[in-house]
Amino acid sequence: MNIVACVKQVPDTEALIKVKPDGSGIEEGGIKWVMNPYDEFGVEEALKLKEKLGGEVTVVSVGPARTMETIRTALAMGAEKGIHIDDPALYNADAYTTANALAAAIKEIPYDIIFCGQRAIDGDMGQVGSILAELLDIPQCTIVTKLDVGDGKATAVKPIEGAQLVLETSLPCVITAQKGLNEPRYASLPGIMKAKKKPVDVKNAAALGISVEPKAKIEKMTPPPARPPGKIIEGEDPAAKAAEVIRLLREEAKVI
Amino acid sequence: MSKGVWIVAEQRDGALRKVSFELASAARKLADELGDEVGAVLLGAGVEGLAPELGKYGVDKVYVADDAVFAQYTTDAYAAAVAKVVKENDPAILLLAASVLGKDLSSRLVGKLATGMASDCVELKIEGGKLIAKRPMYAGKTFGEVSVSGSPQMAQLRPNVFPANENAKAGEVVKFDAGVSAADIKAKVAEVQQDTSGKVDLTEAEIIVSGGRGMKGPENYNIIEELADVLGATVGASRAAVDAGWRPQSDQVGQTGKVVSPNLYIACGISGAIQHLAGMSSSKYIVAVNKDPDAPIFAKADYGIVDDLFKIVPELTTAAKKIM
Amino acid sequence: MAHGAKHVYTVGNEGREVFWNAPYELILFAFTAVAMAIFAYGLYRRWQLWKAIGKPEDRTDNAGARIQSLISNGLFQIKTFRDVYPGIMHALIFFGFFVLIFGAAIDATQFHIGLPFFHGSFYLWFSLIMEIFGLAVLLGVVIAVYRRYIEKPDRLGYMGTPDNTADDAIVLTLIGSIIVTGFLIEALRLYVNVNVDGFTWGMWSFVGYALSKTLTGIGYDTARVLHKWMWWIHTFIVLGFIAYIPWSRLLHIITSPANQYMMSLKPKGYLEPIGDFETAESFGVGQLEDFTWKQIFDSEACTRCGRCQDGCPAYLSGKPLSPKKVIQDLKTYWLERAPVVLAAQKAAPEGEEPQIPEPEKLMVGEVIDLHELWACTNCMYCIEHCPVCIEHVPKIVGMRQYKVLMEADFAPELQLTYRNMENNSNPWGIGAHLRQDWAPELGVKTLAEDANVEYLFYVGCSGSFDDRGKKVAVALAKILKEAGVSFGVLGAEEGCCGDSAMRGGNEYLYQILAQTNIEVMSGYGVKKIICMCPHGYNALKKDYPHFGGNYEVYHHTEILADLIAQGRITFKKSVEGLFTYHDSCFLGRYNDVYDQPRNALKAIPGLNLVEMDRSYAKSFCCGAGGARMWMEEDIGERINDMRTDQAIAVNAGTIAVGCPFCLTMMADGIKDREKEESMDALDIAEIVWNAMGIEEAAEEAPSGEAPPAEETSEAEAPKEEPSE
Repeated sequence: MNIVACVKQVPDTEALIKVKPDGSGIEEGGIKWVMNPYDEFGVEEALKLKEKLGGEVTVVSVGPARTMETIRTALAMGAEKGIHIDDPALYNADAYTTANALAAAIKEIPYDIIFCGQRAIDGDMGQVGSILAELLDIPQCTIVTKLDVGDGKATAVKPIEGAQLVLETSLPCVITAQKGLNEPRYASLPGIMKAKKKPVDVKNAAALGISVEPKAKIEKMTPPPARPPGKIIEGEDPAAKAAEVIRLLREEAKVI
Repeated sequence: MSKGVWIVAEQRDGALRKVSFELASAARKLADELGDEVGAVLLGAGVEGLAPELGKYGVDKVYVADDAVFAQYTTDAYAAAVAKVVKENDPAILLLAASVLGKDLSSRLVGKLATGMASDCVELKIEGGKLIAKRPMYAGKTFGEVSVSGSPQMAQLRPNVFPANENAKAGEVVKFDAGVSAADIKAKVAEVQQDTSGKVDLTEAEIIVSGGRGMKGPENYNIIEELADVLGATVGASRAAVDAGWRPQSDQVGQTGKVVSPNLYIACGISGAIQHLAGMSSSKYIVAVNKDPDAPIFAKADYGIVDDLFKIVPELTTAAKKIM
Repeated sequence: MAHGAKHVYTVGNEGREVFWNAPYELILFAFTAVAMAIFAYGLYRRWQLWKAIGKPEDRTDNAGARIQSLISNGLFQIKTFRDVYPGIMHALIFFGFFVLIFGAAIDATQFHIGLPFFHGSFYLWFSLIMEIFGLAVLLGVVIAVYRRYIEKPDRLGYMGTPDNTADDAIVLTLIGSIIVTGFLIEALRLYVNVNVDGFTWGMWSFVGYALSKTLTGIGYDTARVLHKWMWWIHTFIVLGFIAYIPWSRLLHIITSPANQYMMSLKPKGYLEPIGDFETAESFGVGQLEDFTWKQIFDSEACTRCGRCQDGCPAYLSGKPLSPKKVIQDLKTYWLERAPVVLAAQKAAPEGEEPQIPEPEKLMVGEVIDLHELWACTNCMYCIEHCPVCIEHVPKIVGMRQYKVLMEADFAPELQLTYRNMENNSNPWGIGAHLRQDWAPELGVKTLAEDANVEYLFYVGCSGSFDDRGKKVAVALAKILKEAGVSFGVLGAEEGCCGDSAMRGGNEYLYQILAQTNIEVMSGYGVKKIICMCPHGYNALKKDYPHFGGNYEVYHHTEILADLIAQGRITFKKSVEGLFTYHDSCFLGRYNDVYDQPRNALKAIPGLNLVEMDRSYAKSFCCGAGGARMWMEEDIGERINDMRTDQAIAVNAGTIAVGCPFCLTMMADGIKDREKEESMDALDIAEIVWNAMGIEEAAEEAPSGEAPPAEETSEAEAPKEEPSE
């Protein structure tokens, strides 16, 4: 089975994200770069599938030179080879352009199933997997928490509000991974060492023959409004205090 | 020249979801600014009658494809249908909900329409005739203002953020032939498992109500469960409660349990040792109920109540019932 | 024929004829030769097995220190005496036998060569001493039998089931019957010698003499015959004993002193770093062959005395781990494997790799259960108290390394911890940039701001990130400032020390963390370091030198004790209540820092210090070492609760600690035992700072700690302090 896992390198969840003074992006100095956690679920599922059905896993990523570390991480986990699409015009590209680059690279290799994270924790767009599926003209199952592949089809569980959809699709298809799909493995040391020698193709936009014209653009980045300090709800009456918290959760925090 | 602000209305089981009215109102506002009409795409089986409701929230025209093939949401059928009617009518702006299905559909549409989209937006405005969508990035640590150069300019709207304002318009039904048949559906819905428990796994939960040592015993968790039921939340526990055997290991939140990042985490009788904080501090909002005013959890809490949780938690349930 | 012509023994020239009534010299020699041959063959066979498996390791350097270990641990039995009752038992047998063998040698010399002084008062005293030590051995055997078969202490078993073997019974029977038959021969001889030959000095051999008094009624010729029989019985038992040595637990007579001689001369708790990540094909210990020969030999020295088990926090809290069981299981496995390997080696043609069959059982996972493997807190009680210098912990860490580095198969919560350490250089995964924010109001300068300081205060993860640990860091920084100590911190440049990674088997991650820290520290020319966490202290002091990080490293209690002694810390307040000090394993057993923390406490006016039952080298672990801090504890009782109970038992109001891990564990234990009202766990730095009385009501806890008293005011700090 030919399995593809798309990965993105993102700042660690806990990294300090500071907007550049001109609002053009974030300060990258001092950031610890890691594999997007949702992509990690995808890589893990790809590896599990390979272990079950045989075949090989190719990781594909778009990003600057440092992205190679993330590709190596996936190779250390057990993927066989990598494709690194490195082109300055694609750094911080929008979802469509990124998916287009991935699609161009994936079209050049055989594929039966493609894994993506359901979203990346930096841009939080959550679009690439679906656009990729469309560009390859194959079905998609997004935000999947359980997957079963066999007999040329995939059965995926997708939670929706208050229910779960069991989706059935022919292969090839795109699966976007949600938390809960699996527990990504910790790379073994021989895996890490072997990963250094595994083949990674580096390609640019010209080699892929794709347009880098953006479809969407971040005009400006702004820091979030200063979060108000924690409030202690004072008072004697438990009912009043409870009601106030519920009101704040609805009206201020907008989380219920 | 593209014209019109469109939405894709979301219905489930023959009823429009609240977010559809939020979309309609937001679209109305943009359309008024641009001097445009608001169009809505409505797909489903036996949903034509829902059009007037959309009209009430400011939709001028409702493009309806009423067909059995749309009875159940599938990416393939819905995306093909919306893409067809959008391509035919060329709206300037297309808004969808950042709901589970809206995310799936809108992203596929981006591919079909070869355009751009701002996901999960919390604010929309028009600048120089173009849509500027504001959205959180980096888990809310920054906001980005996004413009779309492709057409239509797409945006997903986060539910419960945009107000649903009544603003009656015609809501005229325009039927269209989606040209979709069951054969076009490659990814089929084999089964819908109604989640009777209503319980989501902790790691995926949007709201978690957690009880700790302060619960004093397993028998007291009913008050936590009641609150969780009302909020549609999942119940969690601290290590102390799990160790004491009050809750199963699978409920444990913290360094050695599950790491969670819900939108709302309500900590009841949990002091907030670092081992616990490590498992839940990335929650968007934290509420703490603890009778010890020095409990470290209050330093992390957005809203805190220093009081006996046995008095407060049932009152939270009562108050939540009133609004949910 | 016997040398030394027939003596005439009289009063004033007391003595006796060696081999009296037993003129079987040649037959005896023949039998002795057979026994010695069996002994030698057994030892040779064992020797081959010892050589069959294991990586090379040099344990013969520094002979002086090794002889010292042999004398103190072997000859003087220092460690066996740490447990008085079984210590005395063993000493009775050990010293008794030692003297008896010496006596037998004198007898033999007298017989073959003749000793000019083997008569008169020398003979009398010699007889008396032999008698006393013979009795000592017998007493020792009686105690041993009583302990093993009647008293049945837990440590002579596993989880309540005695692990007695037939070998134990045989050995005790052999020893006992050697002595008993010896006394009986003597009694029969004296019966004749005293009554017929007029050896009036017979009562110097008081045991035999007393027994001989019971023989009245037996004819002297009958006695001579009985004596011959008894002599043969005695002789066969003795020869059997000798022949049996290499085939039984008696082998420890050889292996234990050998192991004591070959003890580790490295710093306590030393773990050999993995050298070549790039080229090695396997890491850690996955099979027997990955141990060094010495690590395997350890199991040959083990006598199943169970001292290790007696203080093992994992075992005592009901977890499956027992250091004794690990060593014994490895021994059993090795005894299955070694002959197979040896045979394969012998069968292999010259210059070719032997075809060694795959083991039937997995060593890590089957022989050693994974629950055992991961239960170890690395507290080092076992190593500290093993009388024969077995090193249990490095074996456990080696096997953990295999599971982590080779198989990446270990607890998910530990994986999370390692990821956190990788990504944010702290086990909790809090943003690395927040490391410097533990006390911005104190204005402690970083080395980047001013590197011209005497000490680096290495705050560590707990002091930097944990709200509870921060209070300790703040107290310590204030004390240091007050005492005029010149110090700085690394701020956000500091990283996790890596101890938990190392002890949890992730040597790779540990070395990355260590090298990162060393690069920063050495970049600033750091010479002296103060650590507030014994884990960092131990790692920086003992393990960082492997990577070129050579610093003078102090734990804060050492510094505090020193500052108090110098009068640079003075106390204005006196404290009340009963305090007990909980020794951190990584301070005490690892670094022998026992007195400094106690001295610091005792210097505080009014402080009443009481020791728990288990303290100093016998201290009971809090349960957090060896990466256990980051793992679920779901088998048996919680170790920290047990330790808290020990503090409760001495009515301590405050458990004083010197380690943030211990602090967390003790504080949790106090909560688990619902003693929050009456008990507290505090770091010594906090107790000292409080007693210095500088900070009165005006001072508040570090910012962000306490919830605001009033609802929102402008002055309130934002939720997270922005970093500088």
